[in-house]
Amino acid sequence: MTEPPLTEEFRRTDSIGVLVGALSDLRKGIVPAIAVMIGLATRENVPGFAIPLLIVAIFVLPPFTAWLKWYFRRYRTGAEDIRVESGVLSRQARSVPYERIQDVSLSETLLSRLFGLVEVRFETGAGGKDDLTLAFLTKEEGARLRDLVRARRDEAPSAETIAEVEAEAEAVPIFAMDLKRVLLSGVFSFSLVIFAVLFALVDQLDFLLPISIWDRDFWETLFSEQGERIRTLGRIGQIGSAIIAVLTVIVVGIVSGVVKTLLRDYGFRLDRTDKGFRRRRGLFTRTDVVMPRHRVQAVATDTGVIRRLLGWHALSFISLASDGGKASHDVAPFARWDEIAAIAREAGIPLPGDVEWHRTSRAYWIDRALLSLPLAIAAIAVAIWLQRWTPVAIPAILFLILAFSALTGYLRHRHALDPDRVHARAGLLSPRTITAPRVRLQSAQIVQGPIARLRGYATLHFGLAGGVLLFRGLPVAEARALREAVLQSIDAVDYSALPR
Amino acid sequence: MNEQNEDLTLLDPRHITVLRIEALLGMVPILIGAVVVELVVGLPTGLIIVPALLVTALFTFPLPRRRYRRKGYSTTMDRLRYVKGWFRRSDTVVPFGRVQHIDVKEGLVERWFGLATLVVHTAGTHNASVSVPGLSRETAIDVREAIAARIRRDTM
Repeated sequence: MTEPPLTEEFRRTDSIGVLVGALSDLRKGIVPAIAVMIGLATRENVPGFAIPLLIVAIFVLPPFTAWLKWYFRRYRTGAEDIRVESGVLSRQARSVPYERIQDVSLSETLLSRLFGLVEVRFETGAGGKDDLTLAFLTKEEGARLRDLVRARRDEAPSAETIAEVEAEAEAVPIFAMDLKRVLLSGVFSFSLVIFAVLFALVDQLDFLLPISIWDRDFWETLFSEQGERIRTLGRIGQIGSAIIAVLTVIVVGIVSGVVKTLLRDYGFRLDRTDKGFRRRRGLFTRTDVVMPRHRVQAVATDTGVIRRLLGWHALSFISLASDGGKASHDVAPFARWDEIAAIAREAGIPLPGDVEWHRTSRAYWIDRALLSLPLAIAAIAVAIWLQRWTPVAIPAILFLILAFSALTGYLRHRHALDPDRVHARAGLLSPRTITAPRVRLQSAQIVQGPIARLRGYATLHFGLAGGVLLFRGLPVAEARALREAVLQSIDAVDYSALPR
Repeated sequence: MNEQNEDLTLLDPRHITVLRIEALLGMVPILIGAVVVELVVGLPTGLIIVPALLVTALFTFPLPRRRYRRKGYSTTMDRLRYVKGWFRRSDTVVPFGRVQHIDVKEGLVERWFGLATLVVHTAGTHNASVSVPGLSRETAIDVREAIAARIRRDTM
């Protein structure tokens, strides 16, 4: 295709597609229809209009709506974008610029295949759910659109490197965990999930047991018998058995944490390949994930209080792809700071180094603490009114916790701005950080509620693909300045020009 | 607050009427519910209907105008900015360079008045789509063309 395609006329999708759409609707409707038929047959004095109505609902409506949808759905390939108009009563016109289309996929269903039709999906970066689809087109038309889009995209200078050939030779991994480290990291993933599992198991299998765990009498006898025994032990015996009980729980928690981590992280290794980062891990089910470097939207670090004291940190990548249900990919679950810093540098997103951390507005945290006050007072008032003294303690303690967490929020939350990156940090003893390149941010929103306006702070929320980057309680002027700075970086680089 | 908002353009005034009609349509089920409850329970006439009517009147007459006055957009500096809300004020900016694709939607009521809603989609998880309602159809299409042109220009 040498010359750019001119804007063509609007056209409809293939008319046989109506048939495919109607048939697949019919297929979905047939089972409920049979169910309703049977239901009607078993009843007496069914009104005479029910059967014709049913027939209309099942055999006439779907084809008719399929036809309507088809009739009002038009598409056109223009000089710059693909346009699709749809909707019978409310109209929707969608425009997808060629530059934003990452790929065009053609898919067939069993029915469409019979008629030689395909569904064409234009994938953009918008995360899949809002992709543009055209159902159904002839195979030739689908192929034409795909070629057209690919041709248009290739005209634009692309930063793509054609390095499909992967070096098969195993290089030195950029990060790996030996058995010792996996076991050590397991110690820190204390987990009591085993108790939940045991309990669920007992619940499932209780018909096999001589006791019923839901039986109140069983527990009462158990406790009174055991209570008698414990009472006879004397003070030291009581304390001793309490300590043993606590220790048992701790040991079980640690052991199950170690086992869980061993199963998941055994033989953990992260390689830098041409395509991106390749991670392999697992004892019985070994997973092998490749994470393209350009897909990494931000990096996040995490640690724990004791882990931090001993110098251990975790690093994960935030991207649109999900990692077994989690949005971010663990790339170094248990590592030294310089190890994770090296990986982050390799991803092109260096961790915050010697940056100037800013704090949020004090007023925001004070207001948050104050907001929980009326609730606490109400709860305490009710308790006093009812003359129940023990329950007073619960709301009072809850309030104290809320107020404490709100007041320390000022100490916990920090942010910093580098010429090319934004950093957010939360936590005092075990800080979590998120570092996002400014150009990877998609939008910026400042939100202020009534109290925030009065007190001069705002929430700044950046659009990050696959993650959350928001700053609560920034002084208004700072929120505006931060947004402006980031927007200026964004303006400099178009989305399509981002390395991919 | 207002010193920052001078460059904002108000939406099309017909948007007020659209908001009114939509509010009225939204209140219809509640009004019907109020009437039914009164008839069924046998309460004195007007005990529920009158408050329901008052709420409807509030949502239909003063509020849409106020909501309209709080909304504004701008497309300067190749950024789409949309401000709305009185109680919870939000100020969203999407740089044209981050727009994935663009919808121009015409809801049934909007269509009667020649209005449209512009929806821009971004790759971000937050603000995956930002809608600017109450633009005249021509304005919506102009903005769409401007964004599309900018995307094209950037990648030339």
